[in-house]
Amino acid sequence: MTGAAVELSRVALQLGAQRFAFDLQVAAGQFVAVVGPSGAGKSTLFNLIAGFETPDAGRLTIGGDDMTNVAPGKRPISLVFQDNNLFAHLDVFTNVALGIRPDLRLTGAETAAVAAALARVGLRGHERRRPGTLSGGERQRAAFARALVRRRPLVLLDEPFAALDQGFRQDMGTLLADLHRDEGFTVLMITHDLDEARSLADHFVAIEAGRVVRSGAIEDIEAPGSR
Amino acid sequence: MGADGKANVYGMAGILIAHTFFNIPLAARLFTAALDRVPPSYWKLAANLGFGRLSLLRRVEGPAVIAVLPGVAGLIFMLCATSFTLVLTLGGGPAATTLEVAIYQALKFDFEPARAVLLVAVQILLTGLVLLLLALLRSPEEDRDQQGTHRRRFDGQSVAVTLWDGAVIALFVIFCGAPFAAILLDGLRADFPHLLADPLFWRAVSTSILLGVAAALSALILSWLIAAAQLAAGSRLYRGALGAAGSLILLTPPIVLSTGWFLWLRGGTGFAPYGLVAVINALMALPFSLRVLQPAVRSHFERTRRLSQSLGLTGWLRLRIVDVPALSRPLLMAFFFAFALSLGDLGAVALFGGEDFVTLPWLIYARLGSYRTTDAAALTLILAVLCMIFAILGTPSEPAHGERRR
Repeated sequence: MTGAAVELSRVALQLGAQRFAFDLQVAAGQFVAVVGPSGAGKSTLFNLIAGFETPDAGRLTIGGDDMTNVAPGKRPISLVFQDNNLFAHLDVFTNVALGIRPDLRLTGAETAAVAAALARVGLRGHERRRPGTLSGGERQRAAFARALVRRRPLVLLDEPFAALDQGFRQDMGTLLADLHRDEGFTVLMITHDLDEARSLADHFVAIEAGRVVRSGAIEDIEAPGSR
Repeated sequence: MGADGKANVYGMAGILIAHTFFNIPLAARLFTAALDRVPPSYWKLAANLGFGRLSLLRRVEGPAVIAVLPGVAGLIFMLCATSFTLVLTLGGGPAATTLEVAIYQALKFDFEPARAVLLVAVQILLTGLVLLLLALLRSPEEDRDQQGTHRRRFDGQSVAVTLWDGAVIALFVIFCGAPFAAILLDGLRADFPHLLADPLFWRAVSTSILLGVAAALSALILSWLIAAAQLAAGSRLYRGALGAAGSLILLTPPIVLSTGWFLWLRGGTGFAPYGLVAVINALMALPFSLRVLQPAVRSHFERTRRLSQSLGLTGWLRLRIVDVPALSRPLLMAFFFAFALSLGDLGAVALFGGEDFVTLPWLIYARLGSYRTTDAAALTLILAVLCMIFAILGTPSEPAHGERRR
């Protein structure tokens, strides 16, 4: 599996009194940290890319394909949110399996793929556990396992570690970096933690007041004179 | 009531006693909810300041209770003003009647449709007026979200206070429990083998259960659709209209609805009356099932909407894999509540009931009418046990499905 390029050209959206206008190019396989103050529009950017919001104008392509009329579930995207990534009434195995087939009619090979993905994120033996009995870190691992079995070329991570303790964040960061290296998918990750951004990402995008204000290689994330 | 066997429970006095009996638990429940909403720090502060019983009542409990008093009073007034079954069974004459019983009599006995229609118009006008007034007051049952949280009170720790509280509770338990005891005593004396051999009884049971299931399913589907539509609705006006639709039955009580259908069908035969009674029962349950489902549906959709969409879970698939399993508790609760309500209802079935269309409550009413009171008591016992089982299944308990969020 390889990554997909993402391109937003003059994608505009009006939400209440707030205006958003995004121009953005992400090359295939990049790991991009999305930073900016609260309320700047980071989550709105993700909602647009994932298809939860329909732009008023502009063009969004993923891997070169226009996404205008593509439903959220049909886009080549895996999502991991800050929390509520798993259905609380379904066990871990089923939650991951939903990533392959929403109707849960799995072939033998697909069942094996789910088991392998769970083993890859260190959740072997937790297949029948309910999310409520897992720790926050284990729940995020399960969400990553689902992103793995989905094999979609773009992964959107909305503050995936924000609800975790510091020690867990290190482990999860390492896991994420490994997965990105092995699988080669493109990653966009919202984060408030600049150290985390530096250690994981290779590029960054800074968002303020509903638009992209700066972007570039991760080394330049704290350009002089900017916050 | 009637402990000495001489007190007259018919007429105005009986109706009032019965209404008191039915509404004390409701009022107690609503007031308890109001007291539960008092911030816990108030109780601590009161204990710290050494408030006595009177100051506690004046400064803490009083304001909380008075805030919901108009709403509770209005609701109970509404329930009494539109009560049909009680007045029908205890009224015993034109001296003590309500509009609804008058409507029923105009149709069933005097067959004067014109008078019935006039009375219906008056009834809708009156309830509409009261509902309008009620809408201006805050609903006493709103924001009951912290159900099951335990508040610690510091004033209930002395022996004297415990004794006093115990005495008050015991008094009301006796008052509310007496009719049940009477049913139990009278009912158990009945000739059960004879009763159970009666095919009419079994017809009544099966009809009641069939109607109950149909009504409960319809109520469930309707309240689900209303709750989901309210989430999707863009305008506040539309959302409000949807909510009002769920409470339509308060404006047009069961007897009013069945009057309309009764007139249209001219008495009605065949399948139609069954369907109608089921629909009316479903509408009666709607305000309650909606109240159970709405908050659960809202928080469920907030949690899972984006996740389901991103995984391509839509339509039936989503209903089967995500919504129904996750909401099984509130769904079952709403179902059983509606089922119990329909099982015990006499209002909708009163007009259509007859030799061909018998439900348990109708049979009880018929037995009472022919002075077979022991039979009636036994049937009531059976119905009460059935209703209680389903009502308990339908009573909101602590939300165990509210899993930890992080």
